[in-house]
Amino acid sequence: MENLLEIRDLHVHFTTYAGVVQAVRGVNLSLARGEAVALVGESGCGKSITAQSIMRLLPSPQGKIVKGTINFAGQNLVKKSEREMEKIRGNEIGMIFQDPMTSLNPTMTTGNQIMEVLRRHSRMTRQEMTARAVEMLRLAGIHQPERRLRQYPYEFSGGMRQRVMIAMALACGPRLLIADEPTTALDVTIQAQIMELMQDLRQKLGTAVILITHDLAVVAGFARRVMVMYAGKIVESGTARELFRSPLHPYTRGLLGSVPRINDRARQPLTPIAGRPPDLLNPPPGCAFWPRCSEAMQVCARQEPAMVEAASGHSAACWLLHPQAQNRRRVG
Amino acid sequence: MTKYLLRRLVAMLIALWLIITLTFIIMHVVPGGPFATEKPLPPEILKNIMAHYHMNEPLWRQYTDYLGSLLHGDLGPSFKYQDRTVNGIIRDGFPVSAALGAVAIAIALLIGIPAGIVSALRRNSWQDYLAMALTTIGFSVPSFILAGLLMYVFAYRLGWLPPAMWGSPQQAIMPALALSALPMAFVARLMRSSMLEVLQQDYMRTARAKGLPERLVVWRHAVRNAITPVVTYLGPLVAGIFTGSFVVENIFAIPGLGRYYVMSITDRDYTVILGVTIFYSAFLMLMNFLVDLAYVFIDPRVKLAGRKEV
Repeated sequence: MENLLEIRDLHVHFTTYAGVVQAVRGVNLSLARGEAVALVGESGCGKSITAQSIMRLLPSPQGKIVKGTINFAGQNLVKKSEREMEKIRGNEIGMIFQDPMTSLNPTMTTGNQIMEVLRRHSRMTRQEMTARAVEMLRLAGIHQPERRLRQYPYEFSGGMRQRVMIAMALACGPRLLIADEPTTALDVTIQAQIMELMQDLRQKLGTAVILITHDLAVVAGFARRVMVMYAGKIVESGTARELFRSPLHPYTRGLLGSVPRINDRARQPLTPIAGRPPDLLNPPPGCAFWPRCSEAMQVCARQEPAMVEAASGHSAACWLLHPQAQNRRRVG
Repeated sequence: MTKYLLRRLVAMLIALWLIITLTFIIMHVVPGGPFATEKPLPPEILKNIMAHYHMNEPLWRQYTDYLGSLLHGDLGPSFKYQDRTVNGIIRDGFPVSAALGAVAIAIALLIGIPAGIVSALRRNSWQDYLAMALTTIGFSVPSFILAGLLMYVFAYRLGWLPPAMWGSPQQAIMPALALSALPMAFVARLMRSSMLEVLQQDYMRTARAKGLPERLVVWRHAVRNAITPVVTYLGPLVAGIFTGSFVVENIFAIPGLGRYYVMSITDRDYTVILGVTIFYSAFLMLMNFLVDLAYVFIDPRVKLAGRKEV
């Protein structure tokens, strides 16, 4: 079956006073219908920019897709006009954001904010829209939805607001939901509830989800497939199970090593990744990670590694996977 | 709600009483009096006049008498204009000032708000620079210069508009323009900065992610949230403009309240000073009160108990 979303060689540039920032440098990503993938990486690695590119909501006029295609259900979104994109946003692709406290309009009732998206994309009557809004709020786990509909965002807690955002994003039954750090601004217990809700709704409604996060703990139970991004590129991709058990890329190993473990009896200190991400104004030649990589070789600084499939469905862009490197390591 | 209204009413009455008392004291501290003329009046006549207006009585007596008649809504007779009462002066002058003011405010809002919105949406474009340059002029050119300029161009040179007086709609155009320049500039700036702030908000991104066309994003989500500071400014603005601008009314020979107000001070026309001050203060307080009520409709977070939850 054809993939729902197919991103090929996406490049996004930002024009700033300091120069052109190459925020996304050749991202490839595919997503099947109803599938959940996670896009993981530290701040500034380009994961949110990738999401904004899919929605074509890059900050204008600074951000621009300079190369690549985004194929969504057989149509290239990069080529769509603004008007055509308006019909897709909120209708076929829903999006929720990091900070639910500020992502809702404070002067509009939650009901009106949900119904606004229905009014835009459907031919429902007012009664039907109200019924749908009630249904969505109930699905999102909000009690007394009829009453909550008439309330304003300030009458909701952070977790509840994120539920409203989810209800709003899914109101038109989109085929894809992009969740850009949906739990980052929430308490840990609320985080778990929101992730559970998203998992539940994904299964009920069959919506494909791209989860963007820097929190590996959030990913684990949610996405079957995980992609790790670094400096505007995907450096490793595989099933969550494979990737957590046997990470291929040194960066992924570094990320996993800097996560605290609750059952760590040896009480090993966390190992941070030394150094900083590269300056994307002038990305270095070769592998973007080599200056921070403890296993770097000469070739890493000179030439960029290609994505190599090391095991079925598990690939990474790292010279260590090259047959010669394997030999070298074995020898050394 | 009722409790809140009552509390506001009591607060307003106390403020009004303080204003009356202070004005009364300051007025009498300033040297001179309503009957001080260049050529001194014969003592007998002066004494008769003083007695007629009860000015021979001790000040505290005059004060309590004044408060007493004020409670009956009587602001007393004018000292300067014989046969005219302060109530009459306000009754005649206020509608004129209010009509002129209403036109001026309408112009200020109808031009200022859209100008601010466009400036914010096209930040750093030539439209923005032009609008902001004009607001600087609006701020810094005094209304009497603008009034003179308008008169020169439209009445003297082009002859399109009558130069002065009051009565026909054409006669309202120039004074209203002169009066509206400053609030228009202020409203445009206020609206621009407030829009710029709202446009940065996360919920603007949410609105776009819903697939709303930019027009709806701006009108329904941005303008509605950005207009609050303009409403705040509207209270004192309405009171200030309605009660008249002395300068503009004077230049265009408009029989509004502002003219009487300033003239009464130079004339030491005690009752007019007090009466118009009271009227002006009460009006200002009423306007501020109405603005506070208007918040409830604009911003659902505002509750009438006077506290704001965020």
